Parts: sequence; structure tokens; C-alpha cells
Amino acid sequence: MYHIVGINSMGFLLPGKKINKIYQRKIREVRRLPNANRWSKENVKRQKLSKGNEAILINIVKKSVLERLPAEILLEIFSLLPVEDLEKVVLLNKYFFSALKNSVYLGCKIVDNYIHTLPKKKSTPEDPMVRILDITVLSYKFVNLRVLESVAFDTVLQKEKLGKCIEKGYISREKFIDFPERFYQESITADTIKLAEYLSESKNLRFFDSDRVFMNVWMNYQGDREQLFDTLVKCLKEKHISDAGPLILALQDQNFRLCDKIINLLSEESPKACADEVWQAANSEGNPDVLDYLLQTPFQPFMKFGF
Amino acid sequence: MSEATVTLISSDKQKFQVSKKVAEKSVLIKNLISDMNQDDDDDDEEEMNIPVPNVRAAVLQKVIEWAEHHKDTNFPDVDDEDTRKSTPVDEWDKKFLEVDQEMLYEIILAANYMNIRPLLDAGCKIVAEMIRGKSPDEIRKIFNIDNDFTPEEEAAIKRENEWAEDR
Repeated sequence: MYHIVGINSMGFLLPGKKINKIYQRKIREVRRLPNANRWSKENVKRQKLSKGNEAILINIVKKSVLERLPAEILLEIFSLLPVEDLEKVVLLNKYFFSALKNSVYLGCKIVDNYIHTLPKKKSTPEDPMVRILDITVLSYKFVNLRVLESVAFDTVLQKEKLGKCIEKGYISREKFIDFPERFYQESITADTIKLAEYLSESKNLRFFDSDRVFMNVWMNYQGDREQLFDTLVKCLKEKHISDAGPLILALQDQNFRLCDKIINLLSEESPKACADEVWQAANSEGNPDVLDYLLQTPFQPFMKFGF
Repeated sequence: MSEATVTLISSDKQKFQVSKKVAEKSVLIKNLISDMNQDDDDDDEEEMNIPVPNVRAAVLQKVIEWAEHHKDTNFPDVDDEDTRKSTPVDEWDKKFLEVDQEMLYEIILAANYMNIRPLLDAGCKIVAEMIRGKSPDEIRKIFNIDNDFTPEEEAAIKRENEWAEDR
């Protein structure tokens, strides 16, 4: 007794059945389907092609082996490479640039390489291990909210601390960790802000240098500053700043509600230390509403401004 | 009692008789055989012809050679991605995959299609090794890749380093 089974080119299985008319037709269809390796040089040579198709095929044959691999295999290969090599792959041509740039899958695979599993200090049989993300990976731009939300990890640790935990054989969770340098930079985007909020809320990352983050991020941000302010405050380790720059900016925008929030965030010494700077800025604007507002704040005017 | 065999038929109609154990290194074929056995009660001595329409004879022969060699090898669990990734490519596999790029490409495709995860992993690792530590120009040369960026575009990507790292 003979069985014939068919497997179509998409990898779907036609389970083995005794031959009947339906299967005979199916097998004929399967045989008509183009093969996955149809673009191999030998196959192309064997086929008689119309002029138009020939041009297309020759073009495809010319493509490199890497470019002809199915996307899922290509990403599998890339996931085996360190980020430094992927930076070079991006530069190969437009195809690889677009394949890598927007791949959440690849991002997750790479981030997964930076996750270490360690036994918990107080482990339970149900929950014996903790998954720790090496903070280094947060320096990469492709690590966005979509990527991090798709990867399971419990906490983030700096490389040195991670090393100590591995040495000791257990994980003792640090309360807070500073954000990597990338998050302090001027070019921060709305997406990075969302990512910072996620990392702060769920993974205990905080901005240790409040003034610097306000100076760089808040001052150069092009979106809704009030919303950004609320988010940044949530992400600060110490809930105060000493620099008056953000207040001056809010005064220029005449956003007095935001001014109130910033004044609450300023340290106790700030009104005294920064009064000169704030009043100079307000006076140069010459807006009476701003001056009226300032009079009701702890920022005391100086005689030279005529008050 | 002789060992059970199956006949694999390549896309160019060549037949390869292999032991069931070897054929079952392919999850696709293993499932197929299992389905067929479930359908029939009068098992044992029947001949199974299994077309593998996506794989040409030369490639199928290589895949069978690999499966013959590894018929008794225990590979890491398919779901244990960490172990699979970190396991280096076996020396025999390295030699086995020292073929021209076109053949390597077809072996990878065949392994993917026939669902032979260890062979697919080995192929991917070999390709990854061909890329590792190389400059873009070197990679282009190895794989014969055309650079379709204009010099301005390339410079912009390098400058902005859009994909990877802020420096």
C-alpha cells in the first residue's frame, strides 16, 4: 500500500492520506507552487522566461544570499550578533537599514541577551529567580517602550552591581538606579520620555541629577512642557531643583500654573540665590502680568528694578 | 527485524531511502509520519513516500548526511533559547557547512522548511560568524551586497547613528 503526502511551499502540512481525488488535485497544486529555492541560479537557468520576467529574475539572482533569506531567519542571524556588529549591518544598504531599524522582534532578542537570571535573596519555590536587565542596553536608541514591554525582566542593575550580585550568588535589589546618559541628553523625544516613565514606575530608575535633566531635557523639549514636567518630577530621585531656568521659561510662556509647580519644586535656598536672575529675565520681558505674579512669590524684587 | 525506512522525494524527483530515525530529525517529517501512522491501523511494513517539494536533491542529500551523523545526538530543547544560542557550533557541523554560500543558503532554507532546528541554528551561527567583527565594506564583499546608499545618506546615518547608540 502506498501513501503520498504533500507539503506545500508555505510550510503547511497536508497530512498523509490515501490518494483520493481531492488530494491528487492538491498535490498537483503543490507541484505547481514555486519553490522557496526557486531563485537559485540553476533553477533560473532551467526555466524559460518571458523577457519581462527574465529581467526581474536576473535582478533577484544578483541579490546576495543574505538579502534573499526570509526575514525571520535574517533576524535570527542578527540576534546572534552584538550591537556593535549590527551598527555595521545597518550601513550595508537600504534593505538592511530598514530591516533593522524598525524591528521590535530583533530589539527584544538583543535586549534578551542583556538579561541575567539570578536566584533571589529571599526565594520561594514558586518564585525562585529574578531577571535582571543590564543597564548598558538602555543606552541604545532602539530600546524603546515597545521593546522593553515585550521583554520580561524584574529589575535593572548597573553592570558593576550586577557583577557583585553574580559574585555573591544572589540578588539584593538596590532601591534606585540612575538613568543612563542617553536619558539626560537634549535630543530626548516623547518616546524616550514614555520609556523613562515606564522605567521609573516599574523598574526603580530615577534621575539622580535633577538640575541636569531639567537643564537639558526640559529646556530643549519641543512638546507640551507641563506634561513633561509632571513626568520628569515623577522620575526624579530627589524632588527638588536648584536652577531657576525652568521657571524663567515658564514665565516667558506666562504659564503661571506651571510656574507654581516649579516654585514648589525649587529648593528652599533658590528664591534667594536665583532672585536676581529671575527678576532680570522678567524685567526684560516687561510684561506686567509676569511682574505681578512674581511679586506674590518667594522671589523678592531688588531695588534696582524700581520696586 | 530490519529498521523502518521512509523515502524522501526531492523537488527534482530523486528518491532517498533513509531510516525512520534519521528522517525524524525533521520535525515536519516526524509529524507527518506520526499522522500517517495514526490514520492506519495495519502499520509496519508499508512504504512511505514523502515528497519534499521545496528541497532539491543536492540539498536534501546534504540534509540527510547531517541527520545521519546526528541521529544519536541529543540537542538542547527547542524552547531553551539561551542554551541553543550559547552552544558553539560543533566542529563536524562547521566542516559540514564549509560549502559555497548558495549551498549554505539552501541548507538553511531546507532546515527551516523541514523544521530541523539544530541544523538551522548551526547555519545561522555560521552566517553570523561571517559577519562578526567585520567592517561594512568587508561584509559587502563577502556577501556580494550592493551599497545603494548615496554618500550623503551613508554619511547621515553614520552621523546620526540613528539605529543604535547615542555617543
